[in-house]
Amino acid sequence: MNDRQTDFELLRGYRSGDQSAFTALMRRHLDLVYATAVRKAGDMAAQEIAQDVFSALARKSWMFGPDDSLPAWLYRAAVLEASHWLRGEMRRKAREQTAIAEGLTMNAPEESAAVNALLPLLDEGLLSLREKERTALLLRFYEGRSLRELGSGMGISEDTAQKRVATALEKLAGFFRKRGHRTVSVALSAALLEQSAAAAPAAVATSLTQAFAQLAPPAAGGLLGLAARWMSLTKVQCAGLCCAVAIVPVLWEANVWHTTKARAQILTLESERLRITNAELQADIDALRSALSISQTTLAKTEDEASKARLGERHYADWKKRVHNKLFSPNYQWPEDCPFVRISKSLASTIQLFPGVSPEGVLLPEMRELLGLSPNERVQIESSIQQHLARLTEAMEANIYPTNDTPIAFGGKILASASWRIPALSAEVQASTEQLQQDLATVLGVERWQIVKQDIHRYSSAGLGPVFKQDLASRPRQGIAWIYRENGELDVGISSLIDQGTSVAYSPLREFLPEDHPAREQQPGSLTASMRWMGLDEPIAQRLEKWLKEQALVRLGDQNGI
Amino acid sequence: MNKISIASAVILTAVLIVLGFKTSARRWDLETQSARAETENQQLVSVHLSEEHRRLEEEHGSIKQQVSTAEEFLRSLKGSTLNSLSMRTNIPPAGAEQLLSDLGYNWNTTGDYLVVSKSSLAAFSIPAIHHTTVIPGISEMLAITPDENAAIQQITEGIAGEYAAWAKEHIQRHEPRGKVLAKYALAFDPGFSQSLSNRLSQGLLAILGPERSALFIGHSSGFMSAVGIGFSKEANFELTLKSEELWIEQQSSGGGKRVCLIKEYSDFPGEFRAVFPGGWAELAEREHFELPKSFSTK
Repeated sequence: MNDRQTDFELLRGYRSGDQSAFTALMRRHLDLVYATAVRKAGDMAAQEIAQDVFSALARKSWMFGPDDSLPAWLYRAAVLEASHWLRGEMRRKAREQTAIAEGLTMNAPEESAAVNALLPLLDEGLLSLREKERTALLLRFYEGRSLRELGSGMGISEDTAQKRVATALEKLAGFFRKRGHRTVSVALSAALLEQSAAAAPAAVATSLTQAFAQLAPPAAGGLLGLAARWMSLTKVQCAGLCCAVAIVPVLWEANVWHTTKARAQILTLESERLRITNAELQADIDALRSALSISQTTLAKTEDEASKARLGERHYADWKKRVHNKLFSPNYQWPEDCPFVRISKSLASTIQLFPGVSPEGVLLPEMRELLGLSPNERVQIESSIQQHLARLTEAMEANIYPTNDTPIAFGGKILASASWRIPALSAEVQASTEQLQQDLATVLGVERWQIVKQDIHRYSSAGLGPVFKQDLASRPRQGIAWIYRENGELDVGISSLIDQGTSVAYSPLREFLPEDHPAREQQPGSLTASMRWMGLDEPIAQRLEKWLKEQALVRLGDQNGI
Repeated sequence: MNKISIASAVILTAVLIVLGFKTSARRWDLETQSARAETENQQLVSVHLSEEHRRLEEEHGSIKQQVSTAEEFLRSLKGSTLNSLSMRTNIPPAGAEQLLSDLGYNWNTTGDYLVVSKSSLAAFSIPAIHHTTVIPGISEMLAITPDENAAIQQITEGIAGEYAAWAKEHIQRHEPRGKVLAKYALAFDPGFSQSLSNRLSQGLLAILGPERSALFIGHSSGFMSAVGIGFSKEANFELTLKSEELWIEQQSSGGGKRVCLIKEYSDFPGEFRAVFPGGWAELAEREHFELPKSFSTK
């Protein structure tokens, strides 16, 4: 059986109303309390002091827990109560001293003088020890426990109990030696304790038992009850309870903290998202403002242009009236400030253009005006002419052939020559010409068609005559190119023979050198253009041009210029 | 005391932890408030910016519409371009065609007349002077009045007479040989040619003004050639008879050369017409050769 547990169980039993438990407890520790009281205050006061100590125990029974040492507490209470009694009762001081002296005298005859000298310091020495050591000495010497009982009561082994008692005695001896009693040994300390222990007289025990038999246990309600329950817990239970109690607000605050943090983070993210959105929006706005500025500038410019255009429109309308009045006035005069003049249609029919159309079939501006063509009429006529030219070119390409002919009536020495000839293409020209004539007559109407038709018959190079190539139907045509030397330079002659008619043109051979050749004619193209205006048809002109380029490269290609 | 110490330690620790959480929570709470304030501020800014964006888009759309309308209007005002063209008296061909089209002038809308640009007149092949007389066609084309006509003729007659006298004095005849029937040359005299040219151009400028005088001169190449204006080289010709055909090898005073068959309608070399007013026939008579039969009809 564990005595210390028993002390706690007895106290708990007392707190729950078991008076016998307190009596048993008092009997167990009365000797300890009584011996201490006797030593401090003498026999006369010992009973009173013991009664006060156990009264205090009864009152404070709630504050003891399983881990507390009741003997240690009783010893300290007895010492304190005795000291209090001694200080409070001045008139009894002498008697106390006498009593102490008598006590010493009574004990002295068989003890040594050293023990008597140490007795006044014993309580101070015991109080200087650690609680466990003090308890061990009190139980061993004042309650007469065996080492086994001591170990059992303190929850340690017998050997440990023996060591703890020995250690406590050594410390107590050391305490005495520090106070000038240099010869004090462990044995002397043990003897001192044995001598100071005194069993309470049976009468005292009986008296106190009767006195406490009527003592009611302390009320254990309200805070006192809670305190009693609190004190009845072990340290581990106590720590666990505290932790359990403390964890709630901690968890609560942790939850609050976590929630607040999460909310703050969400709001921060939301704010950041909005900031980015706003930045994008601001960028859009800046771009829009820039575009707006440009548009405003454009608008101002356009409105300014529109304003000028309106003014120009009015001026133009006035100008048109003025021009019309001048051109169609009965008193017509040369209009100095006008880009147009009028001529009679009868005069227009006598005017020639050499030519009125390009070799590609595009009407020259003068021809368009001379025929008074509207833009639509011009498009139709040019389309018909170009179709006709395409048909003739196709026929010429199909019939062209080279010859060995040389130029007629050329006085110089010919170094090389080339000639191509196209025979009369009666059927092809006839068919295509009829188609073109029909088209032109349809677009131009009778009056203008007569003018064009007249040109065709009179001059092959006038007006629209060149594109009809009437002579091609009955006259073969030929182009001859030859190379000769004059004044040390190689020149080219080209003749165009249409029937009996001959046109001749000359140029330096350098004109036909490649474009990047240093000796090339600075302003080439004159003879190339002349070939067309001489009436040479494109198939012949192209072949002559190719031959001349080859000759120029062969004859002048290695020269750096002449 | 031990249990109280443990309890105190536990409670104190708990209190400290709670205080720590509270402090941290308070800090986060402040962060939350700050973030909320920032968010609300951003939301306000966002609303403001959205409103601004919408307003600008509307304004921009409106302006673009206005620009589009103005540009459409400009496109419709084709006269604005033509107006600038109409300010000029010498317009490019494409512009002339555009203007004529806009004026509505073409063969079918202008009655007995035809409206043409001044710049085209230069290209019309219509001689201005025959011998010394202004041809009616050029008079009509340049709206030359009878008084102006008479004044011009006075000048041309004076120049032609002076040139004829000079040509007769300076012509060189080479004796025909072999198949060569006739060979003549006229030496180039730049001073004399320039004086005639100046007289003609200054006279015409005074009578017709700059525009018409320039056009008149442009159509007077035949006359000028016939009176030696524009001489740069010696003019010569050599007439040859080959296989009953008359061929001419000619170098004009302008520098051009040609070798061609002569027909009855072929022009007599202009520089020599002052010496041979009768053309081919007079030359044949002078050099004692017979023209081919085809010339008999001339």
